Amino acid sequence: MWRFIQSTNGIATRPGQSLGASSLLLCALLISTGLMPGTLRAEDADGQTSAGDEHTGHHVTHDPGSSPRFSRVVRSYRAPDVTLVDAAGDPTSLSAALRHNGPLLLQFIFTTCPAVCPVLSGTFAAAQPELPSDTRMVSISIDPEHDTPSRMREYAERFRAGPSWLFLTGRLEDVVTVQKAFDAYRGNKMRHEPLTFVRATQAAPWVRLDGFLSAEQLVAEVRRLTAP
Amino acid sequence: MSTGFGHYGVSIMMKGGALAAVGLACLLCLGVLPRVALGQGTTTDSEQAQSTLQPGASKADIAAGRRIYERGLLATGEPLRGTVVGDVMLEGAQVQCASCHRRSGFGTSEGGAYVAPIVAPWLFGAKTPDRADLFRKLYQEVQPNRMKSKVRSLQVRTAYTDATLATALRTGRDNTGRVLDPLMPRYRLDDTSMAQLIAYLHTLGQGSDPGVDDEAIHFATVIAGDVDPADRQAMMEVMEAFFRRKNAEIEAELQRPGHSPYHRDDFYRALRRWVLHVWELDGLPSGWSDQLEASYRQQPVFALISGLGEGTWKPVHELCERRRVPCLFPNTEQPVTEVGDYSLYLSPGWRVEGAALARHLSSAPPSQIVEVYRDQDSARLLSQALHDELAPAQQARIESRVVGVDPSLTESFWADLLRRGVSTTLVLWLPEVDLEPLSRVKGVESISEIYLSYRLLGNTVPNVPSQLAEKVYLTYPYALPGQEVPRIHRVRAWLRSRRLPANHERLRLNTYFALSIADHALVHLVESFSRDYFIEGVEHEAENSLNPGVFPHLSLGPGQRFASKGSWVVRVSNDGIEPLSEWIVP
Ligand code: HEC
Repeated sequence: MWRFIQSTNGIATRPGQSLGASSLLLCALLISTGLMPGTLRAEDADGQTSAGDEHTGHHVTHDPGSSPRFSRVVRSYRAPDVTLVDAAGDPTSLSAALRHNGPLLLQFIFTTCPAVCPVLSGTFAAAQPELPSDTRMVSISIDPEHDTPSRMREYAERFRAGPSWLFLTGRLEDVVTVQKAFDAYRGNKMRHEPLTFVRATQAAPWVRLDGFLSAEQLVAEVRRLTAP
Repeated sequence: MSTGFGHYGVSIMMKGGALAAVGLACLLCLGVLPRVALGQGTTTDSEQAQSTLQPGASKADIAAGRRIYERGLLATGEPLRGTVVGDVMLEGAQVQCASCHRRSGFGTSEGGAYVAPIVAPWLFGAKTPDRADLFRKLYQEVQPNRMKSKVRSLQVRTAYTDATLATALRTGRDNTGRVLDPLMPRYRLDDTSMAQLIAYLHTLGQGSDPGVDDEAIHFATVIAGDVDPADRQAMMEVMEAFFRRKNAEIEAELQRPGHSPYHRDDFYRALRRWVLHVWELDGLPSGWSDQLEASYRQQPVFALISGLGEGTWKPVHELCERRRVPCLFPNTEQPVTEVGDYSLYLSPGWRVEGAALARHLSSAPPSQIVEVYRDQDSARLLSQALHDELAPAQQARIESRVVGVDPSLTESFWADLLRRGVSTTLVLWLPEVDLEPLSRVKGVESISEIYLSYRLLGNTVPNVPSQLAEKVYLTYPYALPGQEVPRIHRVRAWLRSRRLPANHERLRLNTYFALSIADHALVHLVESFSRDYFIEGVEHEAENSLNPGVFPHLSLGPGQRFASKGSWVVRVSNDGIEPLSEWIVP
């Protein structure tokens, strides 16, 4: 039987998956360490704790003003060996798309996605000019049967994507494999969550940002990761 | 814990609803749900419609507002502009209201976002977390927990006035001063555009759409043209069995003693008997439009479900678009290819096979292609799609022969065709009878491969004469044998328990799919009988587990109108068929 706890930030949560006392304490601690508002640094070195769960409880509410909240965890993901198709219609291996020794940003989108994707891609678009010049961005369609290369090109144009922003589609099974590898597969594309994956260098682990980010927040994340 | 909720089992049983039921039941027993301040039932809605209509708003204003809402376009020709998540400026289609709140105005519960409903009764009435809406949102999906908590913590507010609404749209503060989620854009809108948009919002989601009254919800199914009577019977048997079953459940529900009064208020009111109207079109297709219009006028229906057509489906498609009636998954091979708002199809029909073959042939181009087809709709569409989709270099290499519909092709026809003697790829949009004389012709060795359409062969794998063994390939738009989805067993069991024969299985399964997805989408409406919201539910559901397995994979999305999108090319062997290509989505 569920009970509902009204937590101080107004988010009702479920016991067991809620902001338990320890995580609240953790949150408080982390915030007090002077991290930027709205981000939660919950790096668990083993990267194991919450694979597969919904990451609830990681959310920290701050001033509910204009900038969104998101959660941040570090994970190591192994990109599967699949061949996707780029917006020109040419086969591209995922590993080639991710083989990049500068900052790399990755999102899953689809071109007919109602609420989530225009905002995710809009954040990439707005951050584009502010990001370090060696940044690569990759958007992978999770609806590849509909998102043909030409639809991906159209989508890219809508967001005035520059040359360092790649758009990939491919075979449905392959795209499912990729999503699973990043713990982003939710069975139905309409259940798709706002996720952004960031990596500072090829050797670095992935930072998983769960939630919407403003362009400024995204740029700050990348800057922080790439700071010497 | 007993809340008297389980007896709504009609619908709940069908999918992951247990969770929703439990969640809602808990909310109910904790009494956290205040009463609804929403227009309820048809009469109240229309009264409310009047009371909230903006004085002085003209039809033109409302139309202009609708363009802003649905297309992100201002009357000045400028795109709509808004800022999301603090600093991301989006424009036009990216920030049109319909993209998030959907055309219906009922919002979405996409994985990552809870988008509030903004239908007029919500905006211009006080907002309290509505039981029905909660049910809808919770039920729709097994949502990430983040979403569930958002839905539950819906804020309470008073009714908007036009002025407070304008402030909310510009500044992101609602009329209680609460800051709206940063996902909701902050809009830059001049006063005129704002007034137009608000005029449209006053009309959004007012009352039920046609085809629903206090007792019944009306559906139609169209039978168009000279269909095979056995097909007709197979489809109608499934339709009738489903309607009978559905109405028995509803009847039991209505008879059920011991509804809690609370419950009676909300969900009881949502129950409607399903009434099926069969619209048979006869004579020439040129007369079908009038026949459809007359039937619709006599009894407007909420939606068209399934249906069967031999030949064109265009007049039906046009009715659906003109009257804004959702038309779900007719059994036709000739759907209209232009994307409509209200016409959803199982597959692109003939065209997808021709186009998939073109893709296949382009991957390893043969030196010479000879195409033969009979002068009839099906073959013409296959041929046209093949030509449209072939790479330009290939188009020059294909030679097409059109033959009359009637006499089957003779040996001398084939001998003449093969006279050149070079290695030839044949594409034959022909029935099986034409293959036999071909196999007897001298020069048959020069054929390198023959492509046929499985569907055009009458959904059968042909008997290949030994001279042609190993050379015959088919376009095949269905799930491969052995590629069965789990649900097929449940649907087969359902059909068996209704004592329906096992023949015409694809047709029966497809019909069942149309019915079951309509049923699911309807449950989500609870009592908001909005056709747009219904279509949005269908788009959402298509990718769930309802696929009974005729096609390998079904999915829709906003603006996507063909649930299955591709075809295989398969090789005919002694043991049946095996895939030669990948699943090709042209
Ligand atoms: C990118 C997605 C998105 C778009 C586009 C969008 N909205 Fe919203 N809207 C939301 C979300 C999410 C909420 C819920 C905010 C909350 O409750 O904190 C919302 C809430 C609202 C509310 C407040 C409802 C309430 O009950 O207080 C109104 C009014 C509204 N939207 C109107 C509009 C109009 C009109 C448009 C088009 C001009 C529009 N929205 C476009 C996402 C969107």
